[in-house]
Amino acid sequence: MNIRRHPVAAPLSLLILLFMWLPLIVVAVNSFNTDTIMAGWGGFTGHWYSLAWNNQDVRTGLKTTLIIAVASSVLSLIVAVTGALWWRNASPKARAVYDGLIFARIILPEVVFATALFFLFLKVHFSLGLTAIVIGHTVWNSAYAAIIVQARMAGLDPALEEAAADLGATPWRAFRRVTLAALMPAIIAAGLLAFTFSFDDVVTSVFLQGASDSPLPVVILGMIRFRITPEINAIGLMVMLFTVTIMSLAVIIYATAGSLGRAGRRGSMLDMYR
Amino acid sequence: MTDSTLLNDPLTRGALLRRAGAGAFGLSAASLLAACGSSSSSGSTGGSASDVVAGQAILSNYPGWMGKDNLAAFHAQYPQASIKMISNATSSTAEVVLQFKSKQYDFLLADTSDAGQAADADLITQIDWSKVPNIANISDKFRKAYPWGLPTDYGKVGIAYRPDLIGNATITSWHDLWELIPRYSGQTVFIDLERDCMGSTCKYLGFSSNTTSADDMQKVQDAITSVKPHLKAFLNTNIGAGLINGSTAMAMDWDYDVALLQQKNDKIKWVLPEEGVHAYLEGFTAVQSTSKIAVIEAFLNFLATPKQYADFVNTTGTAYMMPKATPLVEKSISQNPILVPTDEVLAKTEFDKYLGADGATLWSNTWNAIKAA
Amino acid sequence: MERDQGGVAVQQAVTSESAQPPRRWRRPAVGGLSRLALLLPTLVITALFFVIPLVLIAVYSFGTVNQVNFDVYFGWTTQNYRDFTSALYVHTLARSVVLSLSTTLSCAVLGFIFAYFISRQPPRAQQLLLVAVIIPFWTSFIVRTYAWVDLLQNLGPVDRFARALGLHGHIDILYTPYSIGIGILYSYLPLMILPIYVSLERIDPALYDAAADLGATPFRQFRRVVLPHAVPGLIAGIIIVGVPALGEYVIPEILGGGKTLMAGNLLANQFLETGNYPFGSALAVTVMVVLMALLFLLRKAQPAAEVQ
Repeated sequence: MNIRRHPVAAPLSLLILLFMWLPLIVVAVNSFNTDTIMAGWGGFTGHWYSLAWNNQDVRTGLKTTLIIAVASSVLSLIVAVTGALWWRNASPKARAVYDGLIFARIILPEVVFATALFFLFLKVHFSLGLTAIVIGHTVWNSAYAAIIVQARMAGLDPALEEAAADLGATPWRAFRRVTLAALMPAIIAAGLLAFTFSFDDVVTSVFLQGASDSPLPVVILGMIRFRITPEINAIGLMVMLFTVTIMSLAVIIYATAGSLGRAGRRGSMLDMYR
Repeated sequence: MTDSTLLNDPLTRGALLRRAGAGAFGLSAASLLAACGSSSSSGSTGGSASDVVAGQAILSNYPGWMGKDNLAAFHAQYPQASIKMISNATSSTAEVVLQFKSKQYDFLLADTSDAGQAADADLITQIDWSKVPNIANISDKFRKAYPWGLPTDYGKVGIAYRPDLIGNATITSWHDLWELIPRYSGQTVFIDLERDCMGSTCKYLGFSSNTTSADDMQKVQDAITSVKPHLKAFLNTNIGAGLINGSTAMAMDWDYDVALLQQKNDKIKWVLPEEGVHAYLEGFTAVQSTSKIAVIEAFLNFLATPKQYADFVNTTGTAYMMPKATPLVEKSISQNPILVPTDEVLAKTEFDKYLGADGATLWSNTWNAIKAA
Repeated sequence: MERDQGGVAVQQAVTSESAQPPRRWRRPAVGGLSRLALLLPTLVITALFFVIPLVLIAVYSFGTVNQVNFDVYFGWTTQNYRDFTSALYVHTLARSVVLSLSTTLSCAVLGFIFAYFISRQPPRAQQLLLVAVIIPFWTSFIVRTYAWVDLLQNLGPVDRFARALGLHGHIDILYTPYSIGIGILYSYLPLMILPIYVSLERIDPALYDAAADLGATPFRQFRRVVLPHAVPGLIAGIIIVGVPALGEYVIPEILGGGKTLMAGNLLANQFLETGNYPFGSALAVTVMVVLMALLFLLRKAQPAAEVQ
């Protein structure tokens, strides 16, 4: 982080980063507060964490949410990437429809969509539950993912993939080494975003959960109906740490699998010629 | 009393479980099932009503809103029967009525508006009181106000304030409050719920908190919008918390919330205003489509015994309605003047009623207008 | 969706795109079947699980509801649409638009600064910063939003900090439209940062050096190198932040103290509180139609459409 090179952007960015972390710090601090109402600082206690840890609803909720978030992210990425690949060679009219559908998915208020999907599933006797939630999440997650992947795709030259094919690479290899590699930053960003959205979602999850286990945000919702307590803060923090751990593990595994080196680097086309 | 012992206090525990009512978070999937009427049922479609107390009855309820041992003890007494409790987070009448309609549950926690409307829509099963003789333990006033099932708890809305922050003035009525709000601008909190906020305003203006007159509602709207610029906020959670550190000076708040706040700061005073108060009243009501009515009736009868009801009250910390249970209820509840249902208090309390479809729409529109102002 | 127009010579050098006139779309070399296979996931997700529910909503918007048992009757009435032209709702909508717009613009500025900063870092640092931005958002939306109540309240940390710096009185931010704005800005910032970052990340660092070598001032470098690349990301960010911000109802409820009714509250109330599905559907349909029309006009107004 070279401040001298970016005299304006650097300090501002650090301030922005602080801004992003401020609530997290508050949550963390309050999760140790003996004052139940958190009107002030009552003293330090780890009691809330043991409460949270032993809360069966919370554990089930966390597991449920993780399953949903991972499933939805993966599906959304599949939809987004395949769609973006199709888009490359699509007619302008087809593209307009495709883009319009992305736009529509983003602008439709979630509460409206969730209600509509809910009524629809009931009419066709599609059972509510985890699958329904994953589907619901994927509908709008894939739209966000598509935007990010598209933004990246716009700069890729299909001729490069052809060139690789000419040089003897199989289509799949050409795709993987050229296009997929170049798209990787966008895929990672889109995947992270989709995961985060799913993880945090309340509206769609509540509508489509049926009688299945509640995802964690819904559990938390039920708990704060009267009062926010440090236990809820403890849950929030625990969940965050848990997710960070999982993500780190995923990254480590992915890195040791070897392909992170090339894919993670800035995917300049010129890279291919170095 | 240190805060760690507070954690074991039933009042605190109860408060932690207490629902706030309607708000931005009023959501529940099952509750919005089938405005069109179709749904997948879960074994509670009508079969022949049996007198044998056997089978599993499904209850939709707020998380933890049940005595610690109630369900286990019930099962011990009736080995062939059990209650399965599904947690929900409903808040609006619309959601609860749709829960009745969805046929997913056998009985529900429903307040007077919910049950009243559900009854209007033919969605409930009336309890056969001859099977629930212990209902006699519950005070008459509550039974009359909640005829559809077993009433379990209620909550009054009064005033909580810090005299030291308002020049040591004394508040004894809603009139006092309305007068003080502009003088201490930005320091008063109202409840962010239709029935509670406007119901209290009805009391201030001197008419019933169950009015369905458009004129009355216009007066209510004017009364609230006139002080709205001076209000700190409409809140539906942590309502009176600001009274503790002084960022709030006056609050419209529920009795059990204030009882809890007083433990944190004894400068907080509770007022049951002269003009009277309104209160919500809720209980367990059976769904029309249930085939487990025998189990439900047995359970309600079981819950209405002093020992079981005391367990319920001690776990939830709610204001209660069974004098016989008093010896078994924890002192922090049974001896708290804010919570004790004396005749004097009850005389000033008007329970919410179902207002009918038109009444509900009128209230809803008035509330929208107030919020939009 | 806006695509990168590729109108900058520098970018063309990098991607070796040729600026094709839009009408010359050539039939792709890849076979039809595999193209259909590529489209299938999208088709399933959108046609089945998006378009159909949307149609349902549109149908509801012309129906009526029984307020007692919430049966919806399909009566083909336009009453629902007429209902919300009342002054009450127009006022609310206007206020929401203003708040959403100002918040989105602030978000765009801050998001751009941060995205630019990230994009200029070495790859490892980029990933670290991205993750650092996302991590707080794994702490549950509701918990985070209530943390802002703690932060912004009088006698809270921000207030005490301001007073320590010499402020007389209190910050009086909580439960005002400003706190709603801060809450929305906060919640949507990652959504703004990511697309801009993805756009900027494409820029070959060599370009900055090249521009500098050619004598460009830092400002000029910025204008000629950075800005054109950022535009698609910026536009994407503004749309995916601005529109959902309009529909927000949770943040205004929590941080606004219930005193500021926003369009999102109005809409959500119909579905969650009142149970007036036809009216809510009419609101939703209107919003959708207006925004889609805007999108359509925007695309028409563009001279060079798809360049690829």
